[in-house]
Parts: sequence; C-alpha cells; structure tokens
Amino acid sequence: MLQASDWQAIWVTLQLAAVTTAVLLVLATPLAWWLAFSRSRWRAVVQALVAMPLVLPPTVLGFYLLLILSNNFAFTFTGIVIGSVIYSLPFAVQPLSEAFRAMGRRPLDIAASLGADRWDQFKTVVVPLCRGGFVVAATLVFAHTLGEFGVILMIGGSIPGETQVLSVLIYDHTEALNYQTAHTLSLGMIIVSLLVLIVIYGRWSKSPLARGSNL
Amino acid sequence: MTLRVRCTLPLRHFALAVDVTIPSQGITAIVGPSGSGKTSLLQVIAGVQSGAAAAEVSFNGSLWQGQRCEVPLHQRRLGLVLQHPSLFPQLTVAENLRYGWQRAPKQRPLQWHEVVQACGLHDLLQQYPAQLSGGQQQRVAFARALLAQPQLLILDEPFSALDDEARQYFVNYLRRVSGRYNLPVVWVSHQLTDVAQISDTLVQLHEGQVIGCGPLVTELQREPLRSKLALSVLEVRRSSLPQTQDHSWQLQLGGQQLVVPRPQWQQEDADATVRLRVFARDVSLTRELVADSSVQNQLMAEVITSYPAQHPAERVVQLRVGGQPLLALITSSSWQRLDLREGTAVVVHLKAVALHETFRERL
Repeated sequence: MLQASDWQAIWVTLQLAAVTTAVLLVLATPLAWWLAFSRSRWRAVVQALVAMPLVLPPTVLGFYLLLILSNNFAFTFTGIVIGSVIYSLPFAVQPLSEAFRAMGRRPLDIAASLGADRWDQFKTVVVPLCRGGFVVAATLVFAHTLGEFGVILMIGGSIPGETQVLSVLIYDHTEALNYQTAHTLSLGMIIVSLLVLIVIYGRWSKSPLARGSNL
Repeated sequence: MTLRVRCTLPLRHFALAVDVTIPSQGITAIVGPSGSGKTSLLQVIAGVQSGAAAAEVSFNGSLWQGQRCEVPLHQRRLGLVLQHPSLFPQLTVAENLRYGWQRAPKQRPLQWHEVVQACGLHDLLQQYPAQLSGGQQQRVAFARALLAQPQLLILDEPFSALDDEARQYFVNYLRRVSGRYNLPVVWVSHQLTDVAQISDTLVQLHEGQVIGCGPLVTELQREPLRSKLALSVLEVRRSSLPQTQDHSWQLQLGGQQLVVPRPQWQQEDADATVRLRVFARDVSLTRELVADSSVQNQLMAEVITSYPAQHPAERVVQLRVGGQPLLALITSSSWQRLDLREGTAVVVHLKAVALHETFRERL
C-alpha cells in the first residue's frame, strides 16, 4: 500500500516536527519571558511581529524566505526548518508567555530570596510551575508543523528525502489522481494527530499543579 | 550598622517618597493606615517592587540597589515573607523548607529541628501547600525564611491568618529569634499591640511619606499613633534585689520599685531588661500616695503636657516617670479637680501591665 517514498516522507515530516519543536522551545522561552515581564514600549511591536504568521498567507512568508534563503538554504531540510520555526513561532510564544504571566514574578522573587540564581529559578520554579504552558506550546508546534504546507512548498519544493513532507506528498498524490494512497496518508494523519493530542492533554491535566496552588 | 532606604515610587494615588535610615539590628515595624505604602516600602527594601522605582537601598554599608549597581536578590540573603505565603505548590512542606536550607551558607546558626519544632511543622512535613490552612501556610513560609539563614528578615503581615494564641506565640518567637541570632527584622503588621510588644524602632508612614521614625518608646508618643493606640512602653530592669516572692517579680524603673506578676515564660538572662506595655486607660493619677489601694504599683511622675482624647469628656496626660514617657487617660473633670498642669508632680497608679521579655538591650 505505502511505498518506500511514502515512508520516507513520513520520516521527514516527523524529523521536521521534532526539530522545529526543539528549536522553538529554546528560542521562544526567552522571547515569551520578555513579552510577559517587560515594561518596554517595544513590547507591542514585538508581540505584533511574533503574531504575524497567524494572519499572513503562508505563501507571503514562503516567498520572502525564499528570497532571503535562496543562496544557502532554499530547497534543503535546514531551509524548511527555518521556515517552520518562523511559521510556528506564535504557537510557541503565546502559551508560554501566558503561562509566565499567570505564574507572575512572586514565586521567582521568593526563590531568589531563598538563594536561587536565575538558572536555578528556571529549573526549580519556572519549569514545574509552567509545565502546562510548555506542554501546550510543544504540542501546538508539533501538530502545527505536521500540518504545514504552504511555506514548505514555497521554500522546500518537494524533494524526496530532503523536503518532501506528508502534506506535500498528499498534494502530489492527489494531483496524480492517486487517491488511494492520498486517502491512506490523510486518514493516518488524522488518527495520529488526534491520538497525540489526547495523550498529551490527558497527561497534562494530571500534573502536580492540578492539585491547586495558592500562588 | 544601618539599613538606608531612599526611593520614589509612583503608587495609585500618591508617590512613595521615602528617605529613611533605620538601625540594622532589632525589630523595626512600619506602621500606618492601610494604603499608606507599607507593603510597597517593604518591597522596595527587598528589591521586589513592581513598577519603576528610583531606589537606593544599602544594608550595613553595602549598596544593594543604586542607580548603576544592583546586588542580585539571590545574593542578598533575605528572609522574605510576603502577604500571601508563596509556597511552591509542587513541593511538599519539607521540600519547601529545604529549598532555602540547601542553598544557605554552610554555617547555619538556625537549626532545622529547632525551627521545625518551634513552628509546629513536624506533622505537616509530607503535606502539599494546597492541603494546608492559611495559618499553616504562613507558619511554613516563616520557617522557610528562617531556615534560609537570612541576614535580614522582611515580613509583611506574617501571622495575619493565625488565631490570637498562635499569633502571640509567634510574635514572641520572632522576638526571641531576632535577639538570639542577632537577626534584624523589618515588618508590617496590622496588630499594633503586636508591633508595640516586640518592635524596637517604628517607621510611621502616611500617604507615602515618613512622618516619624525612631525608637518605639518615643514614636508611641507621636501622632497619629499616640491617639490611635494610647499605649506606652516602659523599659524596666529586673531588680538585683533578691526576688523574695515566688509569683512576682520586682522591677526597677529609674530608682523606683514596682512589682509585677511573674510571667509564664522563663527569662534566659536574669539581668536583662524587660518591657512593660501599659495602656493609657490602665493608668490613673493622684496627687498623693494612696495608703490603702488595691493598686500595688504607685510611681512618682511629672506631668509633661496634656491634650484632648478622642472622647470629648476625656483627656490624655503625657507624663514622665523614671525618665521615660507614659500616657494616662483620665476624665477632663479629674484633670480640673486635681488641678493638674505642666510640671505637676503626681503619683501614677498602674492598674495593669503586660510584661514582655527583651533580649537585646542588656544593661
């Protein structure tokens, strides 16, 4: 039913989603932190820039990325990672900055007064208290990247094993009137996405914070 | 050794504008009506204020916060207890306590078992904060601050959720800890009698301005606290005379003797001073010594001044006894009948006193 090229696309898709999620958690955390606590007047501007991918058509983003990346990364795996990271940025930043804002500065001040430096505070206070925000951010980014199409098509094309992801492959199959394979892949994607979301949301609601907090 | 605070911080209705130097030993209370900026001032001292403050805070000569430099909070070694006890919800009581304990310097004068026991936390160690009552959470937050071995304790309404008996216990414990470990405390409490019981220094705030800062004994005589509380504190020394009676103590106040019921607590140092808390309504005046009176303590005093009390029929008389100020609340007609005026020598009758131990001012 599924051929080697289909499995290859599945593998590329999973790799892309995993790498994008990892990169975004690292990049979005400080950015979300700044947005949650900064009193700078540039905050609104930065917030708007972060939210841009929500309103722009993926083709606009893809077009400019193609121009910018054309010398080095266009039509490479790195290129579509860069595109995905930018495209999914708001999905990582918003839940994180919401979680940071809900936590507030108070627990950090207390931790600092008890002798914890910044990194120590992050490990022992921010991560456990904002675990929900991190889980939501990671889930949304992962799921959003699985379903990405326009940006990847623009800057990655459809090179098997390099930039051909599932959504693009499904498009190719459909174009070729290969409905049976398109059907299998699409249904598989629906089921996998649903299962991932159910497992992660289920686990999140059992986190220690569900015990209640007085912070 | 002092704690110096200069700051301007815009608040909702006015600005906190403070330039105050307080001794960095003993217990300092910040008092004032609600909304006068007490909590904000505490937060500025701790360096955790929200909003842009132009603040300069130095503690014992080291600049904690200035225009250019700032000692990070985690290096200041503060014991911080804020109004809502911010326990870490994901950690048990024991883990909360250990958070500061583990990060404290190796030299730990405040011992784990002693603090856990004194705060009555032994049975709560395995519980999570959400399982505790408000009072229990406050006890944990207080113990956690102590176990971090702070060099300055900053407390904002630390015992507000405790019942009267427990609060009394913790106020005394705070006094004892502060004295024994030479740990300076800056605190805010709405319970002015608690404040008067253990504080050495008072800072009076009104709409963001310091309207009085000085030793407790003199600040209690300053408005608006004077009318509001009508309370005097006398520092007296336990008499070196052999204590003949079992159930009472003989005390000396500027060469005069007085006898008070022996307190429940054991005083650690027999030669220390104790603090007498006297409400103005428990003081009455006569022109002569009264021979047959149920009031045991009669002291010679001098009228300094007097002013109308809150009730129009009453008058507050400010006296000096053994070199210390004392307030008496009498009726206006008594004032006239006794023909009192500035400089009049009177006999003061203390109907009731509350006795509190102090550890610091050893003579």
